[in-house]
Amino acid sequence: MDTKNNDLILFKSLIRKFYDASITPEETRILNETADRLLSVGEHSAATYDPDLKADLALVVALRNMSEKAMDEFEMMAPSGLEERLEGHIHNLASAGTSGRRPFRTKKWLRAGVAAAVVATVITGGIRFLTAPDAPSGNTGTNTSLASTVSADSSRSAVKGAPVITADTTQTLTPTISPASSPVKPHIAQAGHIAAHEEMPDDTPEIEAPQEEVIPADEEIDDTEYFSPQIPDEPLIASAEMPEQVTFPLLPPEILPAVNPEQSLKLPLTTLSAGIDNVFRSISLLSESLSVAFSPTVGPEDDSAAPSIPTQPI
Amino acid sequence: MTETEFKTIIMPLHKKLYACAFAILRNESDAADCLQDSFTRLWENRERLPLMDNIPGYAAVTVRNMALNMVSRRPKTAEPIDKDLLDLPDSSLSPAASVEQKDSMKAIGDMLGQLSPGQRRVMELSSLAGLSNSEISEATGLSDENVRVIISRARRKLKSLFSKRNSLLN
Repeated sequence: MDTKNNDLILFKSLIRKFYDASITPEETRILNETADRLLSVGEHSAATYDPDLKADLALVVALRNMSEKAMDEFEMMAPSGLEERLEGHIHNLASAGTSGRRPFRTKKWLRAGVAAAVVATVITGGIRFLTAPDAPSGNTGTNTSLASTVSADSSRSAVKGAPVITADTTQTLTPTISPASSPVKPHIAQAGHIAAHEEMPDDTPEIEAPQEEVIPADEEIDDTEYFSPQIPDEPLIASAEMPEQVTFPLLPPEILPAVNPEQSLKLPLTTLSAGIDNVFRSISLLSESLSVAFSPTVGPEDDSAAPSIPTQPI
Repeated sequence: MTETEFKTIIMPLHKKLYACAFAILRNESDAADCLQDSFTRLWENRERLPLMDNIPGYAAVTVRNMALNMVSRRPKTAEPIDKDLLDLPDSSLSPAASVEQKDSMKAIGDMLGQLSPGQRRVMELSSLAGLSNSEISEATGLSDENVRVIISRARRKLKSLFSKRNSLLN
């Protein structure tokens, strides 16, 4: 008797939620089981005496039967050949060695990670190279290599105060940036020199830019091979307000080695622009590596974007 | 788990799983594609199957979720319920009970036929597929509250029909 009352109370509670459409699937299952128990009592069930309850029970049972019948019909409607198709599909999966992971995606991310590590190494190496202090006299190789990376685009290299570095220069260049009244175009130093700088004293701590040096037009270097981005015609650093100490503006402090500010390098403008060029080169390498990593096939590296060093004499 | 073991466990369920997919998608080719994708997912997780207490239930949930993803990506158009599905006799019942059941289901079918396609779709997913209100909302694009109101009104209307039928019979 208590069980029947409990079932009645439970059913009435759940049927309210049923009509409010707030009943959960689990509660619907309990509602169906409770309805079956109430109907199984027979002629002495409460449903016999309560027409409202009877209607509720009939509706719940009818909906459940409709659902079961529909699902049986859907099973019978399964297309012929479905089982063979699924077995073949499983066989293909087993043959491919699928293990829950997608190897192509894994390889893709692996390649991207390797490419990013290589680029990071290149950038770090370039930064260390640029921030290394210049050696004492005789370090022509360093100076030459630094000078060799200076862009000399006549359309974008009118940098004021730029000293000229020649291959004959054997002095230690303690860079400084000094104002100049007229623009001077820096040139790649492979051979030759400008008269104003025929001889550099051994202990010259600074290089003063020639005040009235003008490069004849016919001696201008064909520098169309340089890569973008273009350096603007305006000087990168203001002439009059130029600080004596110059650090690379694009590099975060944590990358730069710990350096006493008073002993900071005084880089010539050509070295600064060389540094900027190296950063741009690193960015192009990064984009190139990423495009290679994410392309379907990895082909040979294309160095067409790499700048070539002009070899025109000054 | 080997291929043979997997087939031994999963393949006997393929018809029931197809029915689960079809109840939601109401399209034979979509249901077959859904089943194939579900089997791929089950194959990828085959190592966990022996640890489960209810593999058919897990497979059914996998199929249902896959079907819900497919139907949520489809344009929201409702296929009408096939009222012939509601007229299937149950041979296990007595003739009187079978007739009563058939009448009840016919009454439900007639009432559902009076609903709009969208409301009918909601009732199908609720009554046939056994989806929750949130799942129906995701499949149809309707809000949860809208789904609840549609189901509530349909059930109350069904109750009034059954009450009238019982009073007439009495």
